[in-house]
Amino acid sequence: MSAPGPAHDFRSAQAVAADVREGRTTAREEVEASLARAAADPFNAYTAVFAERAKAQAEAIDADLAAGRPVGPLAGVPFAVKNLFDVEGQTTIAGSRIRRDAAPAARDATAVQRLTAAGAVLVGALNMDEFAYGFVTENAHDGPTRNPHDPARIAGGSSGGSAAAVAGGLVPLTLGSDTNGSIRIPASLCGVFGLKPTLGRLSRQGAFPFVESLDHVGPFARSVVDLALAYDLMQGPDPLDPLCRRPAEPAAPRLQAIVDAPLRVGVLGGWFAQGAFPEVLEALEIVADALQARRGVELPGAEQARAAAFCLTPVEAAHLHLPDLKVRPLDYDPAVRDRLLAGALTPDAVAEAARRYRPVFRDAVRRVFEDFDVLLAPASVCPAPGVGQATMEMDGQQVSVRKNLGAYTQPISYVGLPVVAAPVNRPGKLPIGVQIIAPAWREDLALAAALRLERAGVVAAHRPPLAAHGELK
Amino acid sequence: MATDPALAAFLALDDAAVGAYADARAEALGLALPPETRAGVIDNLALLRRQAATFTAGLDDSKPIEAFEP
Repeated sequence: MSAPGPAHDFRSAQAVAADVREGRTTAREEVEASLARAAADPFNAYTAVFAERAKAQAEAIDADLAAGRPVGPLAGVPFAVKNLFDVEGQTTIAGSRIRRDAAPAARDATAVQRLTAAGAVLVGALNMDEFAYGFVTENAHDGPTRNPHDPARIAGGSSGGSAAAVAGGLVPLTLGSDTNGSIRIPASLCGVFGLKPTLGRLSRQGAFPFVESLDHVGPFARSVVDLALAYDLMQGPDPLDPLCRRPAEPAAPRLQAIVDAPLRVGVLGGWFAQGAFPEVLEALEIVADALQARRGVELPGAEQARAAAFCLTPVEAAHLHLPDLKVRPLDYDPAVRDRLLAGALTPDAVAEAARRYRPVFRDAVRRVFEDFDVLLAPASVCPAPGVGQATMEMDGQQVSVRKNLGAYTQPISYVGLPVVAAPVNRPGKLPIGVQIIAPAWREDLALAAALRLERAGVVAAHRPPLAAHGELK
Repeated sequence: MATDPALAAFLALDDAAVGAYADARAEALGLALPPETRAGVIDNLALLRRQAATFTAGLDDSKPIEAFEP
């Protein structure tokens, strides 16, 4: 056990829970240390801290433990959420200026409720791209979130605060959302694990919507087992989210049984190799070798799927924002505003065509999965770009960072497949993640592949350089 | 080939015509484009048009859209 330090703590969520449960620390000590780290946050990951609520819950957990009453599996584990999740009594800003005067949420989002019921203690809310539209977390209102591995670089987005908080040792577990890659991109750039489950697996109730037909929520963590546990605790139908109907199918208990079972693994080629930086392809090769994967698997229609997701996003999102776009467009983050306005001007028939192409691509993907259990692809085209960097080179062309970081993630979320973003173990180098993609509803396969790689030392959430943290003890 | 007239008209735009299209659509929607947004909006709209062209060809838009399941 290592005592919770004031500036940095890289224990897993389960290690923290064990320390609390077995009396080596208390929930109150863990939460106070986490609040101190949030107050000193060097990455601009946090946008709000909920000290009173967190301390009250921690004291209740300590009282339960002292009285011998049962506690949940995450009792005393601090966690934080992207600031689009409802938190009772707090305004859900979703990274925006426009929502700062909205009424406070009447109740916690379902995902927050479920983690809280398991004993996890919510300590704060985290930075993001405005309304989750972006891959950079360079928020015009709250500033950029810095990458713990190099503060001159972005954390990725849109759940950048969620990834940076875990990577930077501020908190062991966070929640984010992923519409086009917003869990997988920041997990990759910050070097932590992220899970985007199957569309409809986890309730989105109380998560401010971006593109309802594409929105997912999911966890970030420093180990596969933490990721699986948090995912399991949030599962189960929710009558408040019409897509979330499926009974819970816990993955963690199955992992030990399937982690060493044979897996048919393919590496996606074609679209998923175009434009990737050399170090991204090298990292993917390391993972492919470890899983004895077959190279060059084609996912027919991936480029079209990416384009369809790219078009569906602003058109559907603009419907939600049209009233505000009409009366206060200049209160939006400029990088988001222009894209939403363009979406509003695009005929709905484009979105309808994007919805029409969706089952076509899904069926093509299903046919590929007849020969594979999991598929591998890069999570991002490059390691983290610099803060303020507008363009990057892809295939010899200068292209927009904001519009191209998600080139490899968008086709997959378009058809709602589960993906673990796993950080390739490259000590001393900038983080790079891979997508481990499974068939719909088979999160267990992606998690099992990730666990096998983690046990072999091929993927790992490694500590950022100490200099990134300033004063460390 | 898109048979929806609005989609067909959008796909048929060339980049030089996107600005006039944006202005007409904005007026129809009652959406005022602030001057500082216009260039960015037109760039994004042109990109959306090019992207839409990549997946709409060959789609059969005579059938209803299914309720998507992953």
